[in-house]
Amino acid sequence: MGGWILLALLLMVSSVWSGQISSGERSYFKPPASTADHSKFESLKKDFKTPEEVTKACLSCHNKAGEQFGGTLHYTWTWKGKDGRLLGKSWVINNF
Amino acid sequence: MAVTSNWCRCTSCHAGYGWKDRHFDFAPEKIDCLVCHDTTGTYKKFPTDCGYPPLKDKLFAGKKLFKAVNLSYVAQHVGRTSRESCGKCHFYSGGGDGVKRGDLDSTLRAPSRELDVHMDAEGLNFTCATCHTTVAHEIDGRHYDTPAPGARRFALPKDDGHRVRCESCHGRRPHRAEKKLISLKHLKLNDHTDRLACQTCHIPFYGRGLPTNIYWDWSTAGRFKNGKPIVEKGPLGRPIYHTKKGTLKWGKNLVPEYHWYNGTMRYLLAGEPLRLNAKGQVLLIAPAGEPDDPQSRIFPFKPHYGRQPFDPVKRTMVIPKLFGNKGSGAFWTEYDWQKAVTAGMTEAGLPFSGKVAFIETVHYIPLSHMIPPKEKALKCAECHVRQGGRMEKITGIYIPGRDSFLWVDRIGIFICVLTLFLVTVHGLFRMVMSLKRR
Ligand code: HEC
Ligand code: HEC
Ligand code: HEC
Ligand code: HEC
Ligand code: HEC
Ligand code: HEC
Ligand code: HEC
Ligand code: HEC
Repeated sequence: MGGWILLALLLMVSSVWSGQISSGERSYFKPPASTADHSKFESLKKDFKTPEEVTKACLSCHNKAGEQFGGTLHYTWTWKGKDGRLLGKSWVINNF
Repeated sequence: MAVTSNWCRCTSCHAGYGWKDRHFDFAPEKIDCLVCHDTTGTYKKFPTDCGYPPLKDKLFAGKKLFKAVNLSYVAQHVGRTSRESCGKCHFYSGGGDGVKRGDLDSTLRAPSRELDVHMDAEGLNFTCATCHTTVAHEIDGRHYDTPAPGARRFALPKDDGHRVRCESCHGRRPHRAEKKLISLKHLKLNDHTDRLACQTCHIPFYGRGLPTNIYWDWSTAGRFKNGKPIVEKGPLGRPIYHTKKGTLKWGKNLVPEYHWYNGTMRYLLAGEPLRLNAKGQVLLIAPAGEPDDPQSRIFPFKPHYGRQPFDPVKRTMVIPKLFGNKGSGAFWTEYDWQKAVTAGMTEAGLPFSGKVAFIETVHYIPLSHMIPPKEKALKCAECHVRQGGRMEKITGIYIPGRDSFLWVDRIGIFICVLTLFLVTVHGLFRMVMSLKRR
């Protein structure tokens, strides 16, 4: 018991403090307000019949989103393992 | 279980439309932008429609009403993601609210500070993406054998905004006294962060929101009472027997299990030779990491135990077909494991001996959410005790108080006294020297 209290004292000497969160940084985490009000865009003021039409409308402005999202784990459910095995939700198994 | 052969049920949590078999066309217009970017809370996917939302009012399982989604209204009200939008899938993984993870469930929509200091609706009010920073739609977080991006220090602009790790925002030495200039306790806490993950001390219990599933025995599924399916509820309000699922056990406020973890998991795939632990359970999904690896930390996990079908001849795990129409062999319509596994393995294109038996399995789930206020963090004595401490089963490391190698301790004390003495002499010497110089 006494041993490690002393040890603690000793190791304290070697401890150096580094940076900490200063309260000023909190606003840094707030999401920025948007510059766009999507309810004002003509291309969205349609009576969409299928969800694919909606996606096409989004992609007409956000023309990189499809390509970007299309390659992510959330879309492919496939992850090429470092050892060459195919992982990802569509390949692995669980016990649920 | 596995997605193959159960498509439309399981792909109802895919950010896409219409993944109904292995030939899904991953075209850009099949992406579901709304599931993540809806801000109205009215957008939902139907649980068995391959990722499509209900376009007419529809009943699920004959009971639960899913109202038709107004696509135009939702499209006109898109915006940043929220806890609600990520939670549409993540709160319900494993087949229901809080079932799988034990640290993510619908109570995180508007949690109290007691439940989660970061997502606290009245306080910091973080969204998932505040930590899971996203650039060009790459959502940060662990992906299989690749750890979450970012170093274990403050995130800087050169880190491309990656800040999913606790250290990205807090740094590696986050503890300090509020009033005192130097506090031993806080310095000592900081000295742990090279071997203990932040989560280890800061997630003392899991399943603090809703009950979470801890055991799932598939082998008993398929029993009926007078030809009717059985759903028997337990004390936590969750089914302890369910004809489709089998025997289930639930828990709340549970103590995690601790393992060395380098931020990646090991997976056993169907068809691969079994990997067993000391208790003879199959390790389906288990943490990777070693005590002598500087990247590894002691980390808290929810262990999930199961009893599920395997091939006793080939000794491999199998894929049963659960969901499907009559005649397809699906377990949930025909309640015959033999047929279900034959159908599943045929669709997966994997060899199957024709025999089905059941085996115990484990799946570890790493815990990182539901961090309570700092007062609830583990106390020194919960680890530094002779017996029954949280670190009891951790190997490969010397933990004072738990392990007492008499001589190590004595030498330790000796070195301590000696060093303290030398430090004092050294300090005095420097004081004298500086006085002299002046
Ligand atoms: C007429 C063009 C246009 C269409 C159509 C459009 N957007 Fe936008 N969107 C914008 C603009 C402009 C911004 C603002 C970009 C900025 O501030 O950097 C934006 C911003 C966003 C943002 C960032 C968060 C925010 O609110 O600023 C998201 C998310 C988004 N759009 C999603 C969508 C989705 C989903 C759709 C389809 C339903 C869609 N957009 C359709 C033009 C469009
Ligand atoms: C309510 C949404 C939802 C449904 C429905 C769903 N999943 Fe998942 N699944 C998830 C999420 C979210 C993950 C990501 C990991 C996590 O948080 O559990 C996941 C991960 C997985 C994984 C990866 C291993 C793991 O557990 O981490 C497998 C395998 C899996 N699911 C199988 C299935 C199967 C089989 C079905 C259908 C019987 C299914 N899922 C239905 C949401 C769902
Ligand atoms: C799995 C969830 C998910 C899906 C699906 C998704 N996004 Fe996003 N998206 C995000 C996240 C997370 C961010 C980061 C900002 C935030 O907090 O919302 C983001 C950011 C954006 C932004 C603003 C920032 C930027 O990168 O320009 C736009 C615009 C956007 N998404 C459009 C789309 C479109 C269009 C689709 C459909 C093709 C889509 N998203 C599908 C999760 C998603
Ligand atoms: C305070 C920061 C924080 C917030 C807020 C947060 N997470 Fe996480 N999350 C983490 C950390 C840290 C990890 C572990 C990093 C890793 O290994 O991927 C993690 C891991 C995950 C994982 C992967 C776990 C695994 O199996 O390895 C998922 C899925 C996840 N978070 C989903 C969410 C969702 C959904 C939300 C919102 C409801 C959310 N997170 C909010 C910090 C956060
Ligand atoms: C449409 C359902 C869905 C939505 C919405 C969704 N996810 Fe996921 N998420 C999943 C599934 C399914 C997986 C598992 C993918 C896999 O393992 O192949 C996953 C995986 C993850 C992982 C990685 C876990 C791992 O084990 O590698 C993280 C982190 C994550 N999601 C965070 C988020 C965040 C943050 C949001 C909100 C912006 C979000 N997700 C929205 C379904 C969803
Ligand atoms: C050995 C256990 C332990 C480990 C490991 C640990 N903490 Fe702590 N942490 C505590 C305890 C105990 C407190 C409460 C201290 C107090 O009473 O002031 C605390 C307090 C905090 C606080 C509040 C600080 C303040 O001064 O207000 C933050 C933030 C924090 N920890 C973050 C972290 C992060 C980030 C990590 C990983 C780098 C981490 N902790 C690792 C035990 C631990
Ligand atoms: C995106 C940045 C971010 C990430 C990532 C993050 N935190 Fe925090 N955390 C904060 C902020 C901001 C606060 C509030 C600090 C304050 O009030 O001074 C905080 C507060 C805390 C507190 C103090 C709560 C109290 O009682 O005062 C603890 C403990 C804590 N975090 C632990 C963690 C742990 C453990 C992780 C990793 C799972 C983590 N944090 C990840 C930003 C973050
Ligand atoms: C979650 C369990 C846990 C908690 C809580 C915990 N420790 Fe430890 N402690 C460990 C482990 C594991 C080690 C060995 C790893 C190492 O050397 O860093 C250790 C090592 C130590 C050591 C000796 C080695 C060193 O590097 O300093 C001291 C002294 C110590 N702890 C003091 C404390 C004090 C004081 C507290 C409470 C403020 C505390 N510990 C809380 C698990 C814990």
